[in-house]
Amino acid sequence: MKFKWKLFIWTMASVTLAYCLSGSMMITSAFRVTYDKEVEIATEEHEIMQNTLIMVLSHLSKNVTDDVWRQVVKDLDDTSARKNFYFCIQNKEKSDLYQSYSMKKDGILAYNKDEGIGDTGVFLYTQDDKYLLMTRSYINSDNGKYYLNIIRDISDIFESRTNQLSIFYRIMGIIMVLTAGVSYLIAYYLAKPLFKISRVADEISEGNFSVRANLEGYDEIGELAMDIDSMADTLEKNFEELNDAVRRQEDFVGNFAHELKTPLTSIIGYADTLRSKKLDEEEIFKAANYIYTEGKRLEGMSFKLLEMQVTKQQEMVLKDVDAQYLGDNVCGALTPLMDSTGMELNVDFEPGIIIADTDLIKSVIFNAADNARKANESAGRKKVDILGKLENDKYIISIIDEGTGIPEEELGKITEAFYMVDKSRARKQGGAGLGLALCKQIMEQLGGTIEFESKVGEGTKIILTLKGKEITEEEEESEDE
Amino acid sequence: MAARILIVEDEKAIADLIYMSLTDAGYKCEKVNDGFEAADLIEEKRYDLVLLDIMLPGCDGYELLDYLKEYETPVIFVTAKADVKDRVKGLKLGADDYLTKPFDIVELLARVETVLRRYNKNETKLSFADVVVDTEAHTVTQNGNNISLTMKEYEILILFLQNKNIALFREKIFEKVWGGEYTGDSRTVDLHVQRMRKKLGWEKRIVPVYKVGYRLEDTDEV
Repeated sequence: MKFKWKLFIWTMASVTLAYCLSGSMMITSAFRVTYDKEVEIATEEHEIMQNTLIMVLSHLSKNVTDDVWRQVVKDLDDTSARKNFYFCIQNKEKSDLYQSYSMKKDGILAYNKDEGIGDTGVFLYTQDDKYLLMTRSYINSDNGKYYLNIIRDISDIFESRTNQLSIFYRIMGIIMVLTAGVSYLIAYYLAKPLFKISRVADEISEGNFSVRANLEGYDEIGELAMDIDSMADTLEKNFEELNDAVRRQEDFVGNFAHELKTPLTSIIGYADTLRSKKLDEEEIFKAANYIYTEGKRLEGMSFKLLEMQVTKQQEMVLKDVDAQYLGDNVCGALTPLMDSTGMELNVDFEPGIIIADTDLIKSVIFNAADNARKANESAGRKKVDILGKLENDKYIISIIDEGTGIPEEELGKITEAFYMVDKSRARKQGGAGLGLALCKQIMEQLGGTIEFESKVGEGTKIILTLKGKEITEEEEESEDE
Repeated sequence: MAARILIVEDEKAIADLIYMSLTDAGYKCEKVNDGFEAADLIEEKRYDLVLLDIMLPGCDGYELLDYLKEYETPVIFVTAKADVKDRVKGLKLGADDYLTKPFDIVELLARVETVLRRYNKNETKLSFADVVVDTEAHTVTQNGNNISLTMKEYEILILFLQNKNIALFREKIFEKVWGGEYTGDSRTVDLHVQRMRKKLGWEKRIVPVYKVGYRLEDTDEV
């Protein structure tokens, strides 16, 4: 059963029970009070009647026979002339001498007490749909005991009890309806957040991670809602990350296929032309040259991909690398290429220790410097700076060019595999769009970061941040040795 | 008049390849490597067919296709995007054909020919030397005389006429005329080529190439 209905039924049941109990108790006690009062009045009146009877009889002759009793009581009955008020006199054998109302013996409902000497007995009878209260006492005379019974019709108090009960039932009906309404509202109000939470949970299980319960409140339900919301936050984040990873993977495969097909198209096409057509010398050279350059492009791409794959699987052992030694090394390795392309290379590394892998960090610097060279070439400029400096426990290497620069909106994408800012230019320069992707991957493995600052037309600065430290004397000594 | 074809391709090697092949096949070609430039050219001149790459600098092939529709110019996509999804997208947008890289030159020529024929922008009569082929009536005449060719011989002749000066390898002829994969041991191709050649008296025009296929040579010595 639903929580709402449970709540509704329990509220209804408890309200109804409480109302029934209190109502019937009130009616019963009110009735009891009225009844007791009737009994009291009846007893008092009985005593008055009894005394009157005794007084009347004492004025009469000494021998008071049954007939005299009958006559006196009859007169008394006639003079009192009250409605619902009956007399009955019995002799010592308890046979009726006079009765204004015929009582049956078996109609007795209850008796409060029996008659005693100078005491009045009280009995409750029901007869002919009437409730009758009978008071009874006996008077001693020379001819023995005579019983005086006075019967009062007290149906009206029973009737009023019945009336009260029927009013009570009617009120109860109304109250039940009202209670039903109110308790339904309460149940609905209390269960509403649960509904919402349940709906949110359903949506989440169907894969819609963006829904939130957004319930306020510090009760258990509010807490549950907040827990579910934070669960959804985590799920959504993880799912997005997963989706992102899948998208990157798909992009990579798609781009890879594209990058593979483009040179293949040229190679196959020109090879086909060479074998099927009669070409002149110039055409043959052109076709062969295309086959060669596109083949080279494929080769370059496969090397880069292989390098990425290998570095990905390589176990990383980070060692202390002397920054200035690295600087000299980089400068020596890059100079021939830079000189042959007319670049002015300036390498300046502050003393310090870089915690990295020598070969990998060199690979990153070479790739970045090659990018800088190509950018300069396109812009017709010459200066390439490679600077290293120690900052606290970081060693920062910047590769700065004065080339074409990268538009701001493309900066985020340049480390994605196969991404090229200017595709046709990159192709001419033999790029496959993998250099910076490789750099990023290596930097991640070295526990460092790669960042880019660029202005279109002014140049680009690639900033490599690595763990570093100062050279301690001990190390300096060991170096000297 | 030869059909005019615009090649929109940013990869220089491929653009040159297509240009070379189509020019040799007798079409008048122009090439352009940028989407915007292509749009300018299309506005300026009219073309009978546009070969369109999808990934282009400037505006991409899909956008350009939209623009081309207004000029009712037939378009063949030539792209490395080989997904069914991409093909459907390209064709739905209104491209007349979709050729994926890498492609064979023969394949390219056949597709170009088909699309041009569909738009009646190609001549219905192919003529070469003393032979005229009416592609609508399926008749071959040599110096005014009807030459009776079988269906396969006719198709082989068309293939040669469409690929003048290009060596047609046996496997290619088989694929194009018979369909299906060439098993290599069949002499069917040689038999048909030789019979067709004999009927036309073209023994010196259709010459064997290194025992791998045949080439229709544009030569005057018969």
